[in-house]
Amino acid sequence: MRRRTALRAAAVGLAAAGTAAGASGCGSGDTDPKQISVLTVQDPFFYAVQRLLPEFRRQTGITVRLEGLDYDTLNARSTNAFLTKQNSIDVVSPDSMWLSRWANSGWLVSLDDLIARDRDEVRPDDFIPSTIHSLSEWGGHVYTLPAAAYSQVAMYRTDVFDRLGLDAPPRRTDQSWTWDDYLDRVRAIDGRRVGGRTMHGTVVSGAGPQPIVHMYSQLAASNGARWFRSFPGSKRWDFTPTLDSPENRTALSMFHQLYRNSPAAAVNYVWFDAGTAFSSGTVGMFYWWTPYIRLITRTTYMGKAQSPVVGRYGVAPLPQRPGYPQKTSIGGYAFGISKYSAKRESCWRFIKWVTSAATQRKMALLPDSLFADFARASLYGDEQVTRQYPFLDVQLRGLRDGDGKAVRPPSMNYTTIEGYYGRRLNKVLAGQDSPDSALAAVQRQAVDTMGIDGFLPWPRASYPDTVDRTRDLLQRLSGRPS
Amino acid sequence: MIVSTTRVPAKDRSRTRRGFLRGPAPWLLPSMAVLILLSLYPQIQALLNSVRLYNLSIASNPLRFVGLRNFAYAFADEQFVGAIGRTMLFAVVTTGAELLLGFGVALLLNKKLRGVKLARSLIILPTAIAPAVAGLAFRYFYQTDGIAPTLLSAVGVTPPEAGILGDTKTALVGIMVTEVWQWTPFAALIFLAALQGVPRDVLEAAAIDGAGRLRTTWSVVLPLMRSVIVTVVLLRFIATVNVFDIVYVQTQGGPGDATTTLGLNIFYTGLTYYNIGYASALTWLVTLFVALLINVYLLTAGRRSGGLS
Repeated sequence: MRRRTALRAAAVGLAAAGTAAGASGCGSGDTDPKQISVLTVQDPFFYAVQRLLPEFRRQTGITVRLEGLDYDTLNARSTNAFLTKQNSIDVVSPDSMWLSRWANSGWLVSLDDLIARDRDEVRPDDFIPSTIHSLSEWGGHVYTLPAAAYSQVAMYRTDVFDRLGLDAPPRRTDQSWTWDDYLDRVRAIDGRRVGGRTMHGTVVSGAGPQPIVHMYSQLAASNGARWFRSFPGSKRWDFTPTLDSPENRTALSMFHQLYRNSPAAAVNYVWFDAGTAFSSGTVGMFYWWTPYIRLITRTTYMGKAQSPVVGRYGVAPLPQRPGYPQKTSIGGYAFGISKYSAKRESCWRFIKWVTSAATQRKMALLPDSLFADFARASLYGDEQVTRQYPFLDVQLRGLRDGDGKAVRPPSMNYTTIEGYYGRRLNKVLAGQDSPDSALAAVQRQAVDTMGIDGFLPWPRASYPDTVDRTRDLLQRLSGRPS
Repeated sequence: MIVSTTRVPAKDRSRTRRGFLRGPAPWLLPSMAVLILLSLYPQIQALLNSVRLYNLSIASNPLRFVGLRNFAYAFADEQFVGAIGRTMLFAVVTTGAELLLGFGVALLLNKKLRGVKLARSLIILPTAIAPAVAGLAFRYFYQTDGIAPTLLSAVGVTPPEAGILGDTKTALVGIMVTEVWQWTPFAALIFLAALQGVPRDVLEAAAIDGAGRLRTTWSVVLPLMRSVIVTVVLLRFIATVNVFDIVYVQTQGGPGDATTTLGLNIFYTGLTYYNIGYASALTWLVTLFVALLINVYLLTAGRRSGGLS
């Protein structure tokens, strides 16, 4: 009898455990519209949003459970939640490179109607079109609104340039500021002693696959290299890879040169390692995502201690290659609503709030904030903000020159190509492969992948996916004729 | 073929059911259910996915049956083939080192020395740390201005310019050292327990027969510990073949592919590139490969000892 009772108790226990597990899988209070779950990465904007959440709660009564993850975990957790149709995530910030996959899979809600409905509040025409084009728009619909938009710029040590008698790069976009000039200055700095320390000419982010692709693709795009024959800006898309083009070979050869003038350990540097190397004071110049304009003022990522480069660095637009139009990379994070969320209206209120000019301004003006990565044009003219962040003019120029889709084309299988592309690039730095042989191998692999994945020939509709088209879309959503 | 048409009487059936309930089966059922749910089901699902074109980059559902194409592709994939060799090297070297060092440490801890009790409680600490944390700590230890290069320079060895983890020749060695540091205590503790189980009279008999310390260890202690050694080898070998966290935290597989192990390769394929079909095929290939190696090892070890209990 006692045994049977024990068995029965065990069965009840198991059932209860099962119920609890099931309930926990349903996430943030399921249908309670006063509580939403938001997933994003721990970039500088995250810390600023986190500090302002109590204000959002006071205004709306909505509690936001904000989780900051690393890049790969965000991708894996979101994809798993979508595949298993869980409503554990309400709002999420996909990397721009995942948007086409998520939108085509129907995992995100199109925001077009909501934006049009609340156009006076959202002010869609205040967003810099290239940021929406690069981060938020796919197939003619807006799926996310940007909370942080980045372009790439050059950062250099003004004191080192002065000491070595080097001409500082121009502060405005200038055709005469070329990648060859950039490399010449890097070479002129490398190995020289300044202030008792031996300088590295530059630093690259060499770790594969994503960090090196983020840095290298900018150099390649500036030099005219493209990933595919005609995507995304053409009327008819042709996904035939062009990764072994002469332009790409020139770019990789130059990138290899840049690595040779970097700390040797840069072969394993991820994003913030490159920034930390510059902030340590032993690097003359580097180019990187715009949040680093502020991150390099600290000795560690988002740390409190001021770095030795504070007050000793300048910011310049990226160099160009004569005869090629400048294409600046655009990255960042934008918030969208999960298709499986049962609290769309609460999610939308959060997105409107976090991407509004008022909140973004507050995020920037918080004490010790390192956030000034606005997608809204109006904030680049705000007197108080520009006083606190002196390089916003260069940053804005980068965003206006930007076309994230041209630099890193968001084909649905982008991450696959980025994977082996990044690994091959890293092998070149590690001395395991030569630039030409690496690009030939990447090209072969890309041709295979695009064939197997059904991109060659492209069987579906094409359209010129350009910044101008997004500008028209924003005008329409603003209620103005394009 | 019909074996028997005899029907079991209702009374006997009820007795059989009661016998079933009285036996160990009801207590085993929850474990069996958990095992089937958590182990067998994913394996079967992975097998089904491995014969499909299932790539989340292009569609959120499996597209079509592709037979053994994913498996065939694996053998032509230089990343995967390279990862097999690297992982085997990693597994054999680290398991061997953990075994030798663990046994040495266990012998020391088995002695009645001053402070040995404190040492026994402290030695478990590295094993208690999450591998990712250990990996991160060693990353700082290895960095160009870290302790390891300074120590190497002090003994006259020039550390690699790119850092221990930045050089293709030393990166894997750096990860091996981290792994051995973390898991040697585990082997040492198991061996210590086994050493303490060696009957004292057997050791005394060996001493009376004139066997020295080395001879006693080699001819008496080790044979008595054989099954424990086999278990430790199996556990550590399987764990090192699946190594992921330390590599991910320290090098993400770089520089180049110098530290890309099987676990990392499958992680990238499945959870970064989202090629679920191909990642499933790779998972199955690794499972079969490890199962084959383990069975060969068990057969060899069993033959030597005349059968393992």
